[in-house]
Amino acid sequence: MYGKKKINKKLVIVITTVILILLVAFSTILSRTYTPVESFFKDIAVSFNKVIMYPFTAFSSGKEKQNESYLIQKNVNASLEKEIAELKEALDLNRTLTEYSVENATILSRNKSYWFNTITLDKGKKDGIKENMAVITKNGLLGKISKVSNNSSELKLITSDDVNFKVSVAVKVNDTDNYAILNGYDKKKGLIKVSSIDKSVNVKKGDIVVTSGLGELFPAGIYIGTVESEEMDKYDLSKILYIKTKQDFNDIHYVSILKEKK
Amino acid sequence: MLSFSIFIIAFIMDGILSNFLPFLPEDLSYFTPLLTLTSILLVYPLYRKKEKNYFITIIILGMLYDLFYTNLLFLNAILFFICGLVVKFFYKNFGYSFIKIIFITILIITIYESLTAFIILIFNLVPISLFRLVYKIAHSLLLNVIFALSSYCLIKALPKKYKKISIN
Repeated sequence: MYGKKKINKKLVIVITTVILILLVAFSTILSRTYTPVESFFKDIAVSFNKVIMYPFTAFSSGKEKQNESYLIQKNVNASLEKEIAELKEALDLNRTLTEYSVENATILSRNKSYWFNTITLDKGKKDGIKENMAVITKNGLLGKISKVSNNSSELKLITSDDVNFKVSVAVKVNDTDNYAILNGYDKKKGLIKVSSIDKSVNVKKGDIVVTSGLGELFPAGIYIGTVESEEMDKYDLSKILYIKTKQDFNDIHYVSILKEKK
Repeated sequence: MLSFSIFIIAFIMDGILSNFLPFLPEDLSYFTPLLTLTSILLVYPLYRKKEKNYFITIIILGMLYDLFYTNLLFLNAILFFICGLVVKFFYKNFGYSFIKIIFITILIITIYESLTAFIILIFNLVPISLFRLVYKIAHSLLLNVIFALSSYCLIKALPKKYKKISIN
């Protein structure tokens, strides 16, 4: 009798441990989307968060928000349509900035998990937000939407360490585009890392880096930053560039999400 | 009632402070808040004869924390529960005092951050290094120890009618 109880106890501990491990594994999968139940509770949490954060966001300069929004709209709508048309023809691009509309959003909370670099925004599915949409400010690219619930979405910053988050970029050297991959953030230097650029390309400090539009994720031409320094990769095959952005990632309150026009 | 007040204040303050303090890697503030986690060690003596309620409360608190601040669903619920077990062990064996509160706060933050990093390392593709873990822990201590000490003194100073069981 006693032995049976002991076995049962061991079995319960083993089953509980397995369930806990599975729960933790499920919770931490980066590419996981919200389940319907989670999305429902997330929306309730977001509503509470909006109320709590209201005094802090309301007293931030509304004028600043309007100006930022105006600048972004101006950037997007009046970004030399003629040149874009030529570029589209030359590169066979279908996804340029003029084909996007802007949805302004407010930052509700930052993800408290230090390792993920994500932020919760107050716009979700009901505002037409979808996963993988580009998020920008007047200073350029900020990141992409990684998760969406009805009333909120999660923004993954380009400073994120997620090895699955890569953005195709173009480094403009003497008016020619040199394609490379944005893949991380150098914490010590505080600069964005761009890799896989051909070692024969003569990149200079101050050269501009924008999104390339390749990979069908982001539209072409979103400003990222300027080249600050370069080094050869460990195999001496290509260059790694360090990009200085104009973004102050610690001081973002309003963002714009680029929605594809239908 | 007192325990709920501490939980609510810590939970809300956690959200507000983390929205205004630097949060980028290598740029963290020395006042990085983990107030909700700290609150679970502060309220344990108030639940001493209702341990089941204590663990249920901290699991719910962990789930709310995930929902509001991390989007990790169950991770913090489980971690808060584990931290609750450590708090229980510590309190039963050593009790609380001014110095011991500092020690248990540092211990709980270290356990919480180490377990989080370990779990993310196992299940994810986020590169984690010991240096960054130590950096994160070091930057999370100051504010939370101040919060723990001030709350401890406040709870201790309150008349007994506000506490079911007083902190020794």
